[in-house]
Amino acid sequence: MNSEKIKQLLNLTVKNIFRRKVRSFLTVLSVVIGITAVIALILLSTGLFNSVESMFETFGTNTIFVIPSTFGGGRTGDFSNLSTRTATEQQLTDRDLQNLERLPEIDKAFGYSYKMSSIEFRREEKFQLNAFISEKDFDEVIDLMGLELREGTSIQGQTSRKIVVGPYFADHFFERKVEVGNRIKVDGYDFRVVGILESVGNVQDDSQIYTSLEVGRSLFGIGERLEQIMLRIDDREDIEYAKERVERRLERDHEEDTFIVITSQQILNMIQMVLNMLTVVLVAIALISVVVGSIGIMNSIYTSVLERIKEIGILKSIGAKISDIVFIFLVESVVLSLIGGIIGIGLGYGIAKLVEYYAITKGFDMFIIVLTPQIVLLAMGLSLFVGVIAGIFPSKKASKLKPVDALRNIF
Amino acid sequence: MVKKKIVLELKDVHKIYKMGEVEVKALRGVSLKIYKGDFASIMGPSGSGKSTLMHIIGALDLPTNGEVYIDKTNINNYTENQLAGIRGKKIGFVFQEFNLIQTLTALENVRLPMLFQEVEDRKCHCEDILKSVGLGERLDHKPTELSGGQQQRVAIARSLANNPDIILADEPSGALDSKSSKEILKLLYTLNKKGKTIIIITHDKNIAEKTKRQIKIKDGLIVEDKNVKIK
Repeated sequence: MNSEKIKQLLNLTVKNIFRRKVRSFLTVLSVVIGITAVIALILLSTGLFNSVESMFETFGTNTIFVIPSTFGGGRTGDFSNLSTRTATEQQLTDRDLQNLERLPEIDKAFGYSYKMSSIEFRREEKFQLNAFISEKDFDEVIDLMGLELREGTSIQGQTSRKIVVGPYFADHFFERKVEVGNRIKVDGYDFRVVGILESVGNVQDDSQIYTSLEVGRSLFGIGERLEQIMLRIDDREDIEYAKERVERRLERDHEEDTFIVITSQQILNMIQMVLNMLTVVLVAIALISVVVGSIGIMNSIYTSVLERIKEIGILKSIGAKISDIVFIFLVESVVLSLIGGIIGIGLGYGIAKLVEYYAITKGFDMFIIVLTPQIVLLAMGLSLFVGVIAGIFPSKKASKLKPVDALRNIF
Repeated sequence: MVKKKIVLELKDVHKIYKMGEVEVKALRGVSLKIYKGDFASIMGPSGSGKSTLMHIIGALDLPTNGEVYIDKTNINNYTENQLAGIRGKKIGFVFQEFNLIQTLTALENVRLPMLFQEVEDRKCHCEDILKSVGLGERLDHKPTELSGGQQQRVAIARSLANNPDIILADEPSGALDSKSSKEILKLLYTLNKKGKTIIIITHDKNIAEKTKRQIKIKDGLIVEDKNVKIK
């Protein structure tokens, strides 16, 4: 086909689409819905993906976490252990911290604990998770967690009732804002707020409060127990080997599988896997609406063929070949679906951006939607595919009409 | 006497339609030679088989039995695309209801047959053709903006686009008033004088009387074929 022919046949197609404005609009709408759903879901899940990734970037890839394999460190329902095992065998303690730090692969080990505390501020009482971090390592731990101070000071090296709070806790938790220098009651004990942290982009972390592990042990009786140990590995060491060494060291003092030893990369991989599965399932559901959209197009093109049987007859009588007729109707289908695709990309992006805006107003400012050329190409490819599939059958039918049959009513 | 060139020949053509259990014999052995430069009419009442004959002359359909030659080439075994090529290059159609594409302008309608044959010469002489039928001022008008007579002239211009040997006109003035009807016949007559072979299918005796060769068909058979001098 030469370019002039393609141009003129496209002209014929576009004029036909505009002649049937309402039906063309409804047909395009059916594609728009499908593509919008696919684009919005892909954008939202990649946004979620990226925000999780950037959260983990702060930990780096050279961190190992040791956490109890069951909540509270014990095995639920396994009472036989109680008589033969001491509680410490199933809990992490300072001794474990010291033992692990002695391993040559470990650069530094940090332990922390937490408990739910009642917080009272200006006669308003609420409950919040209180994290206990050793005052000796406080600055290093919050740095490793990717936290920064927004104002005030940290509690590094301060053995007193001082507290650092997250930005959401400071700004929105109570009716009145909590400021540096304010006094708050933690489980009935007076504490002075010395620092407020920078936001990390999620409400849960931004609401956390941090006090000294040493003070916590003396005031709240949280004992020797540590809820979690974070191990920083020397950059030159192989993290998988280090992980193995940590596991073996722990097994000397504790029963096998009492703790989960996991690298930050592994956690990230797990979350990504879950998100991937979620994306696949959601996009598969959205694809159903794309299929419905393609049926809409097919229906519209079949109707168009029926309406234009006479026109097909005329075109054939003046020399149109089978491929010319196929081209005319296939192009109509593809043009409709591509218009639907373009609008769908715009709408899907709009919806994802609205969700992003909503998430940011709720404190999740790590959630950022980015429309990449790949996603645009994917959506355009999908609509092109839908257009071709939906158009191929009606256009084949049109092209196979005998000229005499098509013209019968006019001869 | 100079031997005239045959542009179209039918040899013992039969056409049988199956309508369920019933067989309808539309053509029952038609043999016909159309010569270059003929100005012929095929006349018959409805049901006589004249439409079927037109389909076969126009390569829109193939006979059940018998042979069809266009330009001395047997087209009986032609594929649909080959037949489309014959229709595009050798035959120009003019229909009773004009049959223009409503969404396209006069000029675009005339250009269509050229596009399908992918004529090498891109520079369309379509404007000249429209001027020659008196529509130089109406190039960008759509069919709905033209009168019946003007639409039929666009249709004639379209039939000329690929410079075919034969113009096949099916009741060309059937939907027109008497004035426009005369103009259209005059236009076809002029084209014939310029060398085109014109075949008019009609049931109207008054139209048939204005043609040089008058063929009558009845019950699927040619019953009369005479050359007359027109006044």
